[in-house]
Order: sequence, then structure tokens, then C-alpha cells
Amino acid sequence: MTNDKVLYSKDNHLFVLLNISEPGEENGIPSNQYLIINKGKGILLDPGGFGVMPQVLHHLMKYIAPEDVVGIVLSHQDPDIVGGLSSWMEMTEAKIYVSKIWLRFLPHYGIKNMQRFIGIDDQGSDLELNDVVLKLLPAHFLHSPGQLNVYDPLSKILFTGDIGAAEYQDADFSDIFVKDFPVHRSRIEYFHRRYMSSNRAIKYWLKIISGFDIDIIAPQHGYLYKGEAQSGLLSWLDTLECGSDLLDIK
Amino acid sequence: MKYQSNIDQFHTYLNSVLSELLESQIRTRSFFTELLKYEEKTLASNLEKLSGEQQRDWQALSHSNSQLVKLGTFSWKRSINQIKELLSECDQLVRQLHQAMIDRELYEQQGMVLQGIILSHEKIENWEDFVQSILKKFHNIFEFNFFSIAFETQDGIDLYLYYMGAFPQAAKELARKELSGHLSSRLSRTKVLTIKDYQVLDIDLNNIDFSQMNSVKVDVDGGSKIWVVYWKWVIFPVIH
Repeated sequence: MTNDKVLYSKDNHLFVLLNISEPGEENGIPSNQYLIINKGKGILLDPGGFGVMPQVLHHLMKYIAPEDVVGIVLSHQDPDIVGGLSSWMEMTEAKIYVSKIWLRFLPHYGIKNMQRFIGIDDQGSDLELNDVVLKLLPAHFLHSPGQLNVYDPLSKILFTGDIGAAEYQDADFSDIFVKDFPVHRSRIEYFHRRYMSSNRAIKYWLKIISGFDIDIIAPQHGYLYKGEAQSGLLSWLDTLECGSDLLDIK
Repeated sequence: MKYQSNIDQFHTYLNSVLSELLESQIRTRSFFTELLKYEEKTLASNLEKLSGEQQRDWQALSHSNSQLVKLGTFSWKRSINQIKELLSECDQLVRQLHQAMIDRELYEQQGMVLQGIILSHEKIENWEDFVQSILKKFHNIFEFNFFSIAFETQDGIDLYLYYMGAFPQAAKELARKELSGHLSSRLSRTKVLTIKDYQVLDIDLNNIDFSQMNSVKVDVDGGSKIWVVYWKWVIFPVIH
């Protein structure tokens, strides 16, 4: 679908969109895999489902050797994120970071070596990668009850997992950024209304990320956001009724 | 590069096949190991229902089963490691092959480019424009970022700097400093240096990461009349 694209590169620090998977591989919804590299060591964000690993690995090896992947962050527990993890655990010695609430469920993916997992507390955590301290930020109930975002203070890129995720089956991704948010909104509206738990959860998340200087919002599915598209997304989310807000209890 | 796309395809194919094989091995190992363990556990739970003869048969079967799991585990571990090593070695080999192809073609192309530039000097009117047109063509083959050539004259040295994009001022100052120093070190006596800058292309190179920069200097003529410096700055295109 698309080759790897460097979103940021300065002073031996890179933030790379590694791969946008073929839609056929994930039942019509392509997913994005990202890699943060600092001084030759990397953190892989949401490595993808079963069958996606070969193309992600191919792109990854352009930047670092698999043994230099020291960490893998799972934004949440879904199969399009965790499905290929066994292979990555075999290829690398990386520690795996995930919300602690998912630790006891992950062995159901056939995963062994749970001692390599680090459960992240609900309030989030710091994650050191050589010269940079990445922020693992809570984004719980959006949509997963244990969802994590990753903020990179050097590139000012916020990886948001499913927040901002779009359903595209026909895009060519030659330009990876949202061009026109009002047009793009139709591709994210259903997903966010149906999958995100409530506006309260969104507002809580908006409050958390308001403390960070963000240049790019990088979701796990679909186009990335910057500039007007980014502010458009955040404004739209702020007033979005979704999930339990839509349940009629009268 | 004419061979490059074939090598890229081969590289992608090789990585895909080997990593698919790896993923398949990991899945198969997991499936069979769990299956054998499950079967053994199920049979063990029914052991008391079996007759003495059947129990002896079962114990023999159970022992064979355990050996099979051990053998399989050892064999899978070895084959998975072999695939991992093969993946890494093939990747390195293809990258080296890729570089060798580039080097060979570049060597041939460079000779033609430099011959055209040097021979045309003093013969062609608007020589600076002529050089730019040659460099543009060469840039289509090899995306270098900077080219420089210097001629020694009776009065001094003329140094021509060609930027293949819009460079930040710091990069231009670096180029001037580097090349002035390079020429000074090659000359036996001080000469007046005249520097002329040209921006050949409009590509935005303001986000060049100097820490990622590699420079390749090629002195074409070792004599005292002509110096050519030819840089390839390895940069990752930053999307903004």
C-alpha cells in the first residue's frame, strides 16, 4: 500500500510511519505501524495483526536491525495490534508495554514469556529510549478500557491508537495527511460514535493532551492529522456524543 | 538506476518469503506443542479406566509423546533461529549488492558528467547554465544534494557551488568553509578564491539533518588545475 515515510528526523532521532498494511490483510481496514528510533534503538508502536509482520519487518530493517528493537508498545488489546506479536517476540528481545488491565488476557493469543510484558498503570508512565523520554499517556475507554497513547517530545508526534482512526478501503495514501477535515469526517464518524465509550472519556483525554505541544496526530488507521485537520479533529471530538451518550434510557 | 528496481523487488520478495516462513513456523510450533500437551493431559485423566496392558501401552505412548515434544521443540527452535539468521544475512547481502550496483553505475555516469563539464569549460558560452543542465540530468539518476568544481586560473581559483535544492544558510556556510579549507590544503601558496553559488533545483532541503549527513568527495583530477567535489548527503525526506 505505501512505503515507509519519515515523519521526523533530527539529531539521530526518527519517527517513522513504517507501513500501512494492505486492506486485504486486515479485512478491509488498513492499519498503520510506527517506529521511533533514538541513537539506533527503536520502539515499535502497534506492530499489527497476523500476516502483517513480513511487510513491517521489511520496512523496519531499512532503519534498524530487529535486535535493536528494544520496546513494543501496544495501544490496546485488539487483534489488529496483538495478532502478530508472537513473531515479533521471537524476532526481538523487546519488552512489551501495555495497559496492565490486559496482561491476563494476552496469553489467549498464544503468547508465552509473559515476563517480558510491562503492565502500565492507569495514570500512564514514562518510557526511556536513550536520549528521549516518551510519554505513555492514558486514553482509557477510547475505545478500549485500557488504551495508551505515546507522545514523543522531540518530534512532537502523538500516537493516538484508535483515536482519529479512519475507515478507508480505497485510499492510495500517496499523501498521508488529512487534506480536508470536513470531508474526512465522514470516514471517522461512525467508528467514533459506535466505538468510543463517551464524551466524558473524550473530554478527559483532551484535558490530558492539552498539556503537550503536538505537531502531528498519528492514529493506528488511516490518514494522519496536522495543522487545521488536527485542530478540526480535536474540536469535533470535544462535542461528539458517542458510545453510552447515545443510549436512550427514557 | 536500471538494476535498482529489480533488486528492490527481489529484496522485498526475499524478506516477505522468509518472514512469512518464520511466522508460519512460530504458529505451527505453538499449535503442535499445545495440541500434544493437551492430548497427553486428556489421556492421563482417563488412565485409571484402562486395563493393565492398556496402561503399559499408554505409558509407552506417553513417553514417546514427551520425546516428540522435546525433539520438536529443539527442531523448531533450531529452524526458527536459522530463518532469523538467513533473514538478516540476506538483508545485508542484498543491501551490499544494491550499493555495489549503484557504485558501478555511478562510476560510469560520473565520468561522463565530469568529462562533459570539464571539457566544456572555456569552450561554451553560458558555461554555468550548461553545467546546471548536465547536473539536472544526472540528478534524475542519482539524487545527490550538492556539486562543486574549482578551476585554477592565472589570477586565482574560481570555485563553483551548485545546490540541488533550497538549502538552509547554515548548510551553505558549511559547504563554503569545507571547500575553502579543502582547496587551501591542496595548494602550495595562497591564491585569491572567488566563490560562485547556484541553486539548481527548487526542492526544499531546509530540513536537512546534518547528523545524518554523509559526504562523498571525488577528486577527479589530481593535478593542480581542476578540483571536483561531489557530495551525496544521505538524508531522510521529512514530510511536513
